[in-house]
Amino acid sequence: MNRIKSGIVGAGGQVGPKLLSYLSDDPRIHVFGICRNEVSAGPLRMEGYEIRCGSVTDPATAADLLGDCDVIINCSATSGPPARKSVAERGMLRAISGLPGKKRVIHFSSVAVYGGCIDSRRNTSERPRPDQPYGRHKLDLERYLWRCLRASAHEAVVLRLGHVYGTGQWLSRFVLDAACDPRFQLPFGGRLPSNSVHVRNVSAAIRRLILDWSQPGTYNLFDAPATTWRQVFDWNTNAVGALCVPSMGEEESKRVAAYHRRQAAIPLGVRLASEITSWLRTLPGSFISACPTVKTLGILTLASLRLEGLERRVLKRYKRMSARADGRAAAMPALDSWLLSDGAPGAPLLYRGGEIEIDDATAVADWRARYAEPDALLNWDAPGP
Amino acid sequence: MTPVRVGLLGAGNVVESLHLPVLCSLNGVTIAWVCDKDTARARALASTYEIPRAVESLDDCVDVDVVLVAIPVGARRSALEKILARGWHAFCEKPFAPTRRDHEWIVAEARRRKVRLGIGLVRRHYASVKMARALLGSGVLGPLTMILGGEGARVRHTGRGGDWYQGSAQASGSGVLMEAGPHLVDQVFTICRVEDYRIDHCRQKVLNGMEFETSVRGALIVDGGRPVRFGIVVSQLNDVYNGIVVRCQNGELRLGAAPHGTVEIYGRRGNIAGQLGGVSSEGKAFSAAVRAEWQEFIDACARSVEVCDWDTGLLTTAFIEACYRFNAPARAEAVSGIGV
Repeated sequence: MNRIKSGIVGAGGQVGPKLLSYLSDDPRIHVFGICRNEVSAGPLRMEGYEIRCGSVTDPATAADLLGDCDVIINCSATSGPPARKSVAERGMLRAISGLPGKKRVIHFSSVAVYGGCIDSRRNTSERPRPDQPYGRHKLDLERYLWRCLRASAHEAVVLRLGHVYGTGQWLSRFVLDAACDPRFQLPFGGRLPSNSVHVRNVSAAIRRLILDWSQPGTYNLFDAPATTWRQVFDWNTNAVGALCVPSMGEEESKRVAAYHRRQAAIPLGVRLASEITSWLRTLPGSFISACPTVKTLGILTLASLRLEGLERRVLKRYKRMSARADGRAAAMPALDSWLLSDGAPGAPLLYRGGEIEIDDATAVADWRARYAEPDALLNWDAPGP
Repeated sequence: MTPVRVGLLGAGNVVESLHLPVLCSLNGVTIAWVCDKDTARARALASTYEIPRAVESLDDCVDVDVVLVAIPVGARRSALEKILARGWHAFCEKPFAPTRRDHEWIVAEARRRKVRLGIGLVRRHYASVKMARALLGSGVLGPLTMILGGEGARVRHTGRGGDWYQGSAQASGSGVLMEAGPHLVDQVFTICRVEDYRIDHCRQKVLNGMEFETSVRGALIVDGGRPVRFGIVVSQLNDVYNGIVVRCQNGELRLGAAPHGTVEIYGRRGNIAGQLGGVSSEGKAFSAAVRAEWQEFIDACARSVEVCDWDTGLLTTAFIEACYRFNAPARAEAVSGIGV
């Protein structure tokens, strides 16, 4: 049987090892991973996976690493300063696009292209509105990939991944930490769409794409069926036997959501102007704080002038400024805005979502015990992820 | 104050991001040269920091007072021979040496040449470490009963290419315990004033000569000969509890690897009783620790060239070597770049 040869670029990342594990179980797929160096390759090789080491950024080595693939899954994310990241990742896409033959490219983007707090009134799949550097970077890469592929025979599917949860994933760690924080409350009781995807479902979707290629284009990748925040949070807390996180009241939820939506809707230029204005307003106060001699001179002047009315006005203004600063800080509970998102616009990738099995929950519990419980250090016998 | 001339051996990340910003701000310190076999990297660093010379070989370097040795531990032999022979004090980035024998050779050579040695175990200078050491030393929590230490996580993004020295068993000293372990081990030894150790069990996961995880248990000797159970794990394979937990008769204290971290104190029933420290930013706290490290070394060079085992972290080197030897006695010889 001819197996479909699939290479995972960025196999050593967050999702890569899970993809390797899941796809390796399918006899129709021959999967291997690409890592940049022996350190990131080591753990995967120890787990028995086929790993090729090298840089995909260089077209010559990209051909050695990926030339024999039918499908290329790009889930890499370079670390480092922004310009270096951008140059490296564009180089990678250029090299992939320049590979000989006809290949199918699955490129991982992110739901962050729609912004932190997704507002469906302002966002469309064709014109997403990222408001953070990460989302902008991801959108830039999507557009760059499509431009590169115009001169190529390859086809591509771009997946805007939802927030990934499961063993070893940042969202699960966030949820489990939140569950330990007595101040944390889930807005709207968690009934909002999570725009999330379990890492097993990411793998199921990729397998489906490899075996049954979709129309090239851009799709969102979420849990199938879609999950709410309550479902995501409860899945994680149940896995470790923790209490469910409490719900935020409806009125409070609406107030917080309205605030974050307003903030997300403010254009960058307007936000900049507002912040500069706020900073200018603090200048007199911060100048006095930085120059104690000015404050001393002020006190001596007021005392020598003996103008109680002026003194009262100065003190009143100072106290009002301080109270305003404190009040602003206390107005909004600290909450990540993506917890208040609408469902992301655009077409989701259709696939048969896996039953998130008991094994996945047990794995989360084991993982958490290892990183959260110091006693695990004394009885360390890690079986591996 | 007598001006101090510093030379930099190695133009890598740790020099650029950790040491140089501090060295450039220390009064009376001038950077005379930067030496790296990658001359482009050396020239780039020299240009950024206005260092007068960027050279490829130590033979081309003018005299200095102190050299920062920041090249992979497996490549230090010939460099240290030259540095010590020229009478330059040497401040070595961790790990100091791959084996106890190598370590003692370097110290003996430095004594013979009458130069001072230092080791970049910066966590000794963290406020949290000093606080924890003082707290335990005061006896307020009672005698120690157990010590736990963990560091590491499943390796994900390294941001490095195929020529990264950590991918070579010879250059890096063989793995995560040698590369990341010295900080954790020395931090534990510092806080608990460890005098000696006994290893009862050590398990390592190794591939192609590279060790990716070490878990070790046994007893640490404290308080003039009293053994205390310990467990230490360093890993690049799995997410690990990152931090140090010291259990005592009357309570427990916990702290992490962060320079600006707090010291948490727990009661006997496991309830958190309080937190100490942790007010400044990570960047400021780390800079302060590196600055303290350098100031201490420069002052020590001016006072005396005598070093004690503590100054170079001999116990840490011996402990790490013992972990490797527990599983593979011949391994120590294979990675040693310095022979007697």
